[in-house]
Amino acid sequence: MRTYFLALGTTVIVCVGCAADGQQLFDKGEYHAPPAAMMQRPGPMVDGPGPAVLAPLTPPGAMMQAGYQCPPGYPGGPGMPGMMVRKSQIHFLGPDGMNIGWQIGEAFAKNQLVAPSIYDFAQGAVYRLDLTNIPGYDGLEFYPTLEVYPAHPTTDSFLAHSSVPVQITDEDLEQVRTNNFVTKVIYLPDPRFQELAIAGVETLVSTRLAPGVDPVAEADRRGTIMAVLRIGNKNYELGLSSGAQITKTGPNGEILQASHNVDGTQGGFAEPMAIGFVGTQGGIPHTQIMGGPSYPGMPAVNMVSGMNTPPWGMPRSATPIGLPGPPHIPLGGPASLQSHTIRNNTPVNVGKPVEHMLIDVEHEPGISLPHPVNYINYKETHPVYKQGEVSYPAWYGGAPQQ
Amino acid sequence: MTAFFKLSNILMGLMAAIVLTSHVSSSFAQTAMPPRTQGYWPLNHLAAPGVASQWAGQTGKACPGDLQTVQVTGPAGMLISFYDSMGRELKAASGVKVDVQVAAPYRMKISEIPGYPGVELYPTIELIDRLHPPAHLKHQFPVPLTITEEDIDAALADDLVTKVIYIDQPEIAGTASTTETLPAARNLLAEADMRGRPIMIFRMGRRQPDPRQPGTFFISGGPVMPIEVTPNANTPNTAIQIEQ
Repeated sequence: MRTYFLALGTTVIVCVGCAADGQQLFDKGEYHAPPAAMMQRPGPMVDGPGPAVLAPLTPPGAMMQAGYQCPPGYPGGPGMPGMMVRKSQIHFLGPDGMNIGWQIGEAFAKNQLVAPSIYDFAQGAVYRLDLTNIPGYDGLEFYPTLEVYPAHPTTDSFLAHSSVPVQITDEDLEQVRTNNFVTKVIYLPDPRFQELAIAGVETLVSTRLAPGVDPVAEADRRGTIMAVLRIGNKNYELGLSSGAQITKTGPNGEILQASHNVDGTQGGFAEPMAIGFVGTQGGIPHTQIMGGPSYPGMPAVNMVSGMNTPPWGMPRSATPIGLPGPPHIPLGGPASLQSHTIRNNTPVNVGKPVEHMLIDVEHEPGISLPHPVNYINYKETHPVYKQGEVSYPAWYGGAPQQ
Repeated sequence: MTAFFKLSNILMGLMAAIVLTSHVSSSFAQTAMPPRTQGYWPLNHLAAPGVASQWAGQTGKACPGDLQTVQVTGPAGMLISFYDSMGRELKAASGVKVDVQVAAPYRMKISEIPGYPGVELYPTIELIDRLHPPAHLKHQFPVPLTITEEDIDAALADDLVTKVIYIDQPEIAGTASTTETLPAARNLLAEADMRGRPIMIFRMGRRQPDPRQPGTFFISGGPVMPIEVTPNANTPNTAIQIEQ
């Protein structure tokens, strides 16, 4: 009996020990990404953070300048229109009569638009707006940010033909006035989830979602985001008068004018200046991939790694067939691939290769032509002259003069 | 003469269109439709204007200088404007025929639409292929583009209307132009390719040119050569006006 229990206990310990190998005591199910620098260049022979991640992206302002650096005669060079920055048209639907301004450097351009109105914003950038003269909210001023997302292949066509509607409702403003933060995400639903051929825009509002639901992530799950409007009640002009001039002092104490007073009611206009760009920040690629500008009449450039941009994240692991192997997974670790096998399990029934081929052809009626000659008798007879006799050609026509 | 009538009948009978919009009712079903295949089409109608036409040029479907006649019709009285490579506006009445370059996108404007006072829309077209009639007959067989009130209503409702005009396969060609509405999830270029040969893409939304930045809006792929203006009984304007 003692031997039996000893054997049973040993068996239980062995079995349980296999299932619970002690890692559960220390592994809490957490995941830890490698350091950012390591993610960017994960290891030897592997460059970039992974496939389809692009080279450092250029902010819209720099892209505009890039179009004019082409040599003469090249599209975009002198005499030709330059590259056009891709822009999304924002349609401020209301409330009617609301004035819309935006940040320009360290000041604000006031009253640039009156809703309902439209404006084309460069994509891939964040702008700070200045909302004033809102009906029913006299004296209140709001400074929402407008993040204009880059065009995606699923929204490219829509953005080229349609505006992105942005509607600020009384409900939104009431939420902000009661110290809530409102996020509105305007997105184009994925066509797979549409029953009819509707390419309509939808808006997600954070205040209408369940607590804890991220409207940006939710909209990204449902479709492709085109713009995000975030409204709070923070005053960004605290201590400054409306449309105030910002002054700086120079090295000798002189006063330098840093910006101008721009007010649309007085005829002033200034283009909005982005307060942030989509691109790389601190060497970490952004989640949004930004397409490049294009020439008039030419489609926008959507960068595809390895197609129209240098390949990034391509593994250099060798395979027996001469093609690059799969990327090192997980990224961030050293190269570990030692074997790469591809098995083709496709049933093949195509017969054996033909070794001898016979094709019978026949014309009806048959071909009948004069038979070719197989004998020619050609004989030339030449006159023979003796010494003292002169031969004249036949065309000479007579005897020579003596 | 016999050959001419056969050719004209075939070309007139083969023109068809797929219409993608939620407000246009389905009215057509092909009975001899080839079975759907699992092929892969790298392009779809959602791509930016100019992508499909650029691919058409790069794949040899069109060469520089290939011009295709397009006839644009709409509600009686509607005016249609094209913009040539010089930036001039070419305005004409509904039914106008213009020669546009294949493999290039163009921005149009439609205005003076009866029943829509003050409404101006700016659709685009891009030719991704062309017809091949005898040279002296090419103006008699334009690619037809019809803009309906349903299309205009859809665009004003912030919808994007996309049409792919294709020429039917001769084996399954009907006797008249047909229109079919498809769900948004279907790739219109693939569907048109299965039914025949896609010729032109038409897209229309509500976006307007920003008056502060008009240069970023109009695209002109090449020459627009107005060749004919079809007289319209309801519109006395039968001549193209060129506005700088």
